[in-house]
Amino acid sequence: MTIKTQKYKVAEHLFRIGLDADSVLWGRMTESYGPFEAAEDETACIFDLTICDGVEIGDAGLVYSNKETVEPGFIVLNVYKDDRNHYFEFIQPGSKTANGRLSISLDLSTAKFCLSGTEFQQWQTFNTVVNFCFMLATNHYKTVLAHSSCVTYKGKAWMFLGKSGTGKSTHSRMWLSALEDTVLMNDDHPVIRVHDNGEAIAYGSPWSGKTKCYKNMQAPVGGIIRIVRAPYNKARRLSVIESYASLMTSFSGITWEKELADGRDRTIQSIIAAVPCWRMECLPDEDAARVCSEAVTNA
Amino acid sequence: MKIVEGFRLREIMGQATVIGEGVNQVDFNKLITLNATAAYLWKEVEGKDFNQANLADLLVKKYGIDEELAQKDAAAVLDKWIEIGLVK
Repeated sequence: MTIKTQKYKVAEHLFRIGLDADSVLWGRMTESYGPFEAAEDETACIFDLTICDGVEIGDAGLVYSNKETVEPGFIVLNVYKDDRNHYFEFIQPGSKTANGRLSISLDLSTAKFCLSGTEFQQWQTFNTVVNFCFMLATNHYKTVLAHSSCVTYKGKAWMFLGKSGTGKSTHSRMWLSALEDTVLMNDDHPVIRVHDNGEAIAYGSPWSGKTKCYKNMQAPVGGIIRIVRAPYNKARRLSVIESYASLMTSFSGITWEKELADGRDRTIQSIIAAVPCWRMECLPDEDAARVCSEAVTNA
Repeated sequence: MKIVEGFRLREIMGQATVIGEGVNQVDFNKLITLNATAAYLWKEVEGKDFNQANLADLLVKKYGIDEELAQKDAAAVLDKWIEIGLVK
């Protein structure tokens, strides 16, 4: 097997993926990863992920498993660790055996991954793994993947948070139809990066859930808004602690490793210092978009 | 008793706050804010075995209050921590 490599840049973080030149995954990647391709001569990748045959966990100890607590339809994750690597085992919903094993060096820069299962399962797991490596490797750089639907309006990014099914995407749709010049940036996992000058910027990513929206675009974050269903439309600015709680529940992260938890904490606090956070109690209607946009753009 | 593993005291914009970050606390999903006194006690007993009397001693040492009041305050803090599941 000949390994072909390609560099990508998401949120101004460069990374490299190496994969069998004949793999069907290259074709699938065109649509979602294509917009993020970077030139081969760009340097300073924050991680290098190679898809290969066989990642052995050996006698590394089990650190974490969500097997008992995972909600139906979500990925089961088992985590192991030894003195060289973290190991992650992914089991897709409905699958009995692991669909992929990932090893990633303790410095989070070198990852190896082996895939199994049907082509569709492989594609899903592959996406999960790239997303996961990105989340880990960017931890030190005040960067987070937000579980969010994100639009741009009046030159800024407005990010909607909420549990699956509460209407993040619906609320984005309401902005798109009610407010002129609104653009959907990403519908599932945009990235927030806080730069050295303290500014928080939102970036599109190759991970957008069921909506095919893989835009390589960026905008300063104007507000982060938690969407809560209600029989009326009302926006309320959150206190510092409420903001932290709101962001914490919607940002990817591994917190049982203290260093990673510290990194995530620094990022969340930097975001709160830079961006107003809100709670929007709302109906799934266009009036909600008007009430919300008026409140958050006038802050 | 002991602080349950995985709970960490952090300073969020100046506010002492306990966050569940350990393997067994990943789904805890709450933030517990502590006042200055509770934060002081937390830092003193973090990682150690302790009981109500130890907390009361710490209060006497730091604030110079009388033993009876210290016992009462220590009991109140400890009850709350037990109720929330922060200590076992």
